[in-house]
Amino acid sequence: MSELKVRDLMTEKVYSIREDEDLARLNDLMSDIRVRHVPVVDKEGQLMGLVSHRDLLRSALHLEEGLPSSQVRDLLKNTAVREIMVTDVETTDPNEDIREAGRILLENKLGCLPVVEGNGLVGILTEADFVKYVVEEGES
Amino acid sequence: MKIREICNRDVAVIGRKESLYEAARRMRDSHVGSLVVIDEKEERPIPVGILTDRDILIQVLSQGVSPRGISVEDIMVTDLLAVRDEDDVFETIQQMRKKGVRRVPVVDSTGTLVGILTLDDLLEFLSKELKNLSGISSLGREREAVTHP
Repeated sequence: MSELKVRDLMTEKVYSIREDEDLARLNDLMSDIRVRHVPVVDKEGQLMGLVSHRDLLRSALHLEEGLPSSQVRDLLKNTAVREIMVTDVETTDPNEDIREAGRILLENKLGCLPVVEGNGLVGILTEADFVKYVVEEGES
Repeated sequence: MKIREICNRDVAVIGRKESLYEAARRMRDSHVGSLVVIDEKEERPIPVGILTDRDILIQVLSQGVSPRGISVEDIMVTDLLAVRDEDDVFETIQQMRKKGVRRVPVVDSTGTLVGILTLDDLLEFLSKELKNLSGISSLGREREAVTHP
């Protein structure tokens, strides 16, 4: 366990979204891929922030207040991800010790740790990756 | 609004004597972040605890991984908030917030597990527009509770 690095557990195939995409598109992504956290990137793939399923739901509820459905739909399509994302995001790098990354993940209320090299997104680490690790260890 | 109108009746469960490995496997296969731990009384599932992916993370960090040596009851949380399907939703939310929990097992009048309520399910239910956009089925509709052997 002490030799394990973030790169050994992280999910490399990470679904991200551009900051200028809209909330309707974000909703599609989260429903189709069944993810709760989506890192937000700029045109160059640099990490800009993080958006969660809960952020999306809260925004939708906030937008919905007293409005007819048709207007809410338009609002969602006209609201960019960057307006609801969290920008103060903790990250880790692939060479970090897994214990340290796990500790941050525990303290981090978001339950999701983007993995970056420089500022480029290369993966993601969540509690689910530790569950996956237990399964793989059990099967080997 | 009653809990039974919005709770999710599709609950992933596990027995307390099962291994951590089995728990992890079931979480993965069911695509969930938590399992309700049950005892079977006269073939009825009775919730006795809850195990989340966070608990597994804590276990891996503190003790490393010997998945077959540790059982669910070694690490599950047993201090459960008891929620009845007849309870009021908003009062329950207040209780959940006070206790700092995001999900609770739901039981009927006999104490049998019938569903689970998470704060995210509630938000989703309240957000009618998102439901329409993504075609999420109404949580008020009853579905067969799925229990794993």
